[in-house]
Amino acid sequence: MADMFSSGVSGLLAFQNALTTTGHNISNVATPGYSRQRVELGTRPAEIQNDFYIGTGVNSQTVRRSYDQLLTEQVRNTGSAAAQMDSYATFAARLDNLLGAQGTSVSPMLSQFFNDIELLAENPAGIPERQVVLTDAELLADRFNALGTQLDQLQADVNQQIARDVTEINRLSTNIAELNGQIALAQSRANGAPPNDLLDARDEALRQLGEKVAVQTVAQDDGAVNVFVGTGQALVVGKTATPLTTVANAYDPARLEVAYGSPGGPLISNQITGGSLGGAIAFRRETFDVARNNLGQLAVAMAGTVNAQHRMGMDLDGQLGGDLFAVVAPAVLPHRDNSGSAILTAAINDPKAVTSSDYQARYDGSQWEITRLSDGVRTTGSLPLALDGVTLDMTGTPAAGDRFLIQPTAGAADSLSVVLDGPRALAAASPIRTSAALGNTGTGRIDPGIVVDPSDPALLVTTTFEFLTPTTYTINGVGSYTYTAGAPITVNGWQIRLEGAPQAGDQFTVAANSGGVGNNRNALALAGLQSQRLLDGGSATYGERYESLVGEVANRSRQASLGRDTQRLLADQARAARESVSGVNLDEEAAQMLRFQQAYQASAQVIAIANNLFQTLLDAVRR
Amino acid sequence: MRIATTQAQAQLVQAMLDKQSQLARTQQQLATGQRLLTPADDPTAAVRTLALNRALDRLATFGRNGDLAESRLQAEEGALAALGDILLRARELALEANTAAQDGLSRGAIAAELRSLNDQLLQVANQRDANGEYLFGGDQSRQIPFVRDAGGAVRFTGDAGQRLVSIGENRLMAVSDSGERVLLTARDGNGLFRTDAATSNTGTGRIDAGSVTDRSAWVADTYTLNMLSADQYEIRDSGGGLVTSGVYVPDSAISFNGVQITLSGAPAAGDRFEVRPSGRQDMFQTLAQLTQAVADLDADPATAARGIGALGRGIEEIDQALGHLQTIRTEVGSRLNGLDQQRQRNADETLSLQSLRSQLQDLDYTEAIGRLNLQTVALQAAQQSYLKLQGLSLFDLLR
Repeated sequence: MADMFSSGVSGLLAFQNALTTTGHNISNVATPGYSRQRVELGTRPAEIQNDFYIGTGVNSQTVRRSYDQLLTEQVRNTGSAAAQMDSYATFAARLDNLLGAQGTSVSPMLSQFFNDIELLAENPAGIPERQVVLTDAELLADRFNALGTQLDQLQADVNQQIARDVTEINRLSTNIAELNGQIALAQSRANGAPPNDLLDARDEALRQLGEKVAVQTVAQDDGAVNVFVGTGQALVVGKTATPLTTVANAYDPARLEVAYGSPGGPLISNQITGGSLGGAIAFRRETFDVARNNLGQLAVAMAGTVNAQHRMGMDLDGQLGGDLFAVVAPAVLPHRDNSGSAILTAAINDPKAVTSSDYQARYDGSQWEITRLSDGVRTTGSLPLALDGVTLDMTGTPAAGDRFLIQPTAGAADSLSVVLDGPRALAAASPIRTSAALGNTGTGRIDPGIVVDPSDPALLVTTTFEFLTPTTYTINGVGSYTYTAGAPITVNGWQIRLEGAPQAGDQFTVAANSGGVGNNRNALALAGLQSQRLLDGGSATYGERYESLVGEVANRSRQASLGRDTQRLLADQARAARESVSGVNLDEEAAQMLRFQQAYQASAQVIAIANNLFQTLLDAVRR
Repeated sequence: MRIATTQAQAQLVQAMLDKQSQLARTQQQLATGQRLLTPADDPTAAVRTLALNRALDRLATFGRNGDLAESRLQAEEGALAALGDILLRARELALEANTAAQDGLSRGAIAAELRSLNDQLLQVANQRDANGEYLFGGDQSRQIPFVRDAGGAVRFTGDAGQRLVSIGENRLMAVSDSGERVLLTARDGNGLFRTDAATSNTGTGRIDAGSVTDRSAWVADTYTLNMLSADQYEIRDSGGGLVTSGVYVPDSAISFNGVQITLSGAPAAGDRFEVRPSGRQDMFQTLAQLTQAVADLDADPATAARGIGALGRGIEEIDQALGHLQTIRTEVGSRLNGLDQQRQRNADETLSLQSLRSQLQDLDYTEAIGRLNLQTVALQAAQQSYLKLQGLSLFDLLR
């Protein structure tokens, strides 16, 4: 009977535990990362009764959580990938919208500007037409500036995201290190029994960490896990956490990098993958830099080629054209550790040849090594040195190991401005005029000519071609040149062609186009620039260049958003898989509760019966 | 598979959120009429749309340029017609002046009208267009191109510039002709050569404008016909070489080097006549000379003879000038034609590009509205199933 009591009591205790655990499950139905728990019941050791064993009741052996290591890691890893794509896609969509939206896109203003010039060609002396060109040039520059400002803002937002993520990573890794300590302690205290809720809390912290950055974990014997980031930098070892820090880029203070440990520690920005931090850094490297430099390249090439053509023209006041646009000179950023006194300067000498890449210049003690960062191509030599349309020069003395970052195009979009002084200064006309003498007897013709070098001092000097015979001519009465119909003749910075059959004595003259305000040759040439494939080694027009940039960013944005959808799906599946093992189902718990309640009541009944039996015995004895 | 309660709820909520965002997207598409909301929706289509917009902008510019070019060419054509009319009237007057019915008084009236025609010619030559630019000034379009100086001669102060504008991709069209070409480059004489009587002539012999019999035999040079006596002539070239000589018979043709000239009247010994290659005529000058010739008809017989010759040559020159103007008018006409064709081409291209762009970016409303309905139904279903599942709990049944 005592056995029966004790057996019944063991049932009461065991089912109380079971009910408590079910209650714990129900309470934690909404706790993130919680794994449902079960009391594992086992029979108590049986007693030997002469020649058989008799059961003595039930025992709560342990409380185990329904847990699958693999599924938990999958949740963390897919969550990490999804967070990366999410952060990438969010940034890329902003950039994509900026470049593509009608209100911010450069494309419509670019067309507008050149079409204005095309209309100016119809009435080259018209002040209203000139004013329209000038106004739209300013609007075009504004578009570039606005995009540049928005890009700067985007860069600042990327910086903020990096800073926020690093703070959060540090908080979580400290948290994990603390949990490691508590788990080891709890485990040793309870003779190795798992501290389920602490383990869940750590898994949840790891999952949250994974959303910030991809991590690898290694479990230790004492129950702790070590956490690694990037290419094996330890964030957490046992009870110690090493923080990440943000530092300004060695060249460009407007750019945050991630360092391991103290601010002087190694930079790991480029090793970091996964999570929102990995997404932000990858976006900056793969999409942002490309977009900013490509936009800058377009600004540099457009401003440079339009200026070059504009200088070949003559304005309404008979002056040679000046610059229409201005862009900032390439940025040269010294490394903060430079010890020499050298200051590098960079200038653009061929706007068409400027690439969208950045360059690193490094002095090795005897010569400079210039690395094009987009493809790693190296050039060595001494300064001054011309490379990809940029001339590098230096003042001061460099020390070996001094480094500079050269960004030919990064700031160009921000800085594009219109520097023309009023509508009259627009050089729509050709500065030269050609004419055939009225007394010519042959059928020779002279074309209107083009300017090839506006800096030639003799550009506007009157020059006469006189034919001595139908096949030879003199220039200003000097020399005897053989006439070839249609062959270009270049003199004094201009180029003309003579055609037809001139006769001896025929004269052709090239002279300054004074008063020629109705001439539209330079306007036509300017407007024609938009159809010329001037960029990317003669393969793209301005418009096509911008379109390919929009296309590239749109493609990346699309890829990122498709990737985000895929990764979200995978993450959802992983979460569902984990939840199907570890999650709490209230119906199930209700059923369990009923079951345990019934068992509890039955156990109580066992005690009641035992009591009855005991009473019966007592009553029998009392008589 | 076990379903965790929170997971099931989260999935239902997520389903509603997804359906709501799809619905919002369709609504935005319907509100804007655009299929593509951002370039990332379809990068290829976005880039092509940008390129199409660029091409359409350009076509629109060509269209505007074409309209302006047309008005400019029409103005020029009108001016050319006016110039032609003036010359035709001058030709009529010249013919009229040389008839026996005229006397000094009526010739005076003719000369006066010729002078007025000359002024009209100047007026048309200095005509301006709607922008205030001189039609015939060349590139110096803001400065009056033809100026009559104190001596009555007209000077051209413009240049030979011709304005081209873009009316199509790689299609430039000339929209002006310089006054130099229009008014100063018609051939003088009969187009091949020009005849003149020396001012020192004392006889009443006169030379006609001459005609060409064999162009290939013509050698461009200045020839002098000398009257050796009243009935003997010789023709020498500029080097003094004898070309031909003969007996003078009034009104009979003298042929040499593929051309023939006719002398009439009574030239005196020592009178000289000149035949030289045709140069350029100045139409103002031509009218002025014609006026002078009309006046000369009433002077002494020698002068009158020269006047008759000048009148004949003047008529020839007016014919040359008319032919010259006609050539330019034909050019202008063909430019206008070309413009029309180009505009038609541009319009066709605009239409095809627009329909292409529309295919790329415009929303198919029928499809979108269908989709909107479907998505609304799906959202309602998700909401209802959420409510249904919310009511399903074993705990509700435990009493």
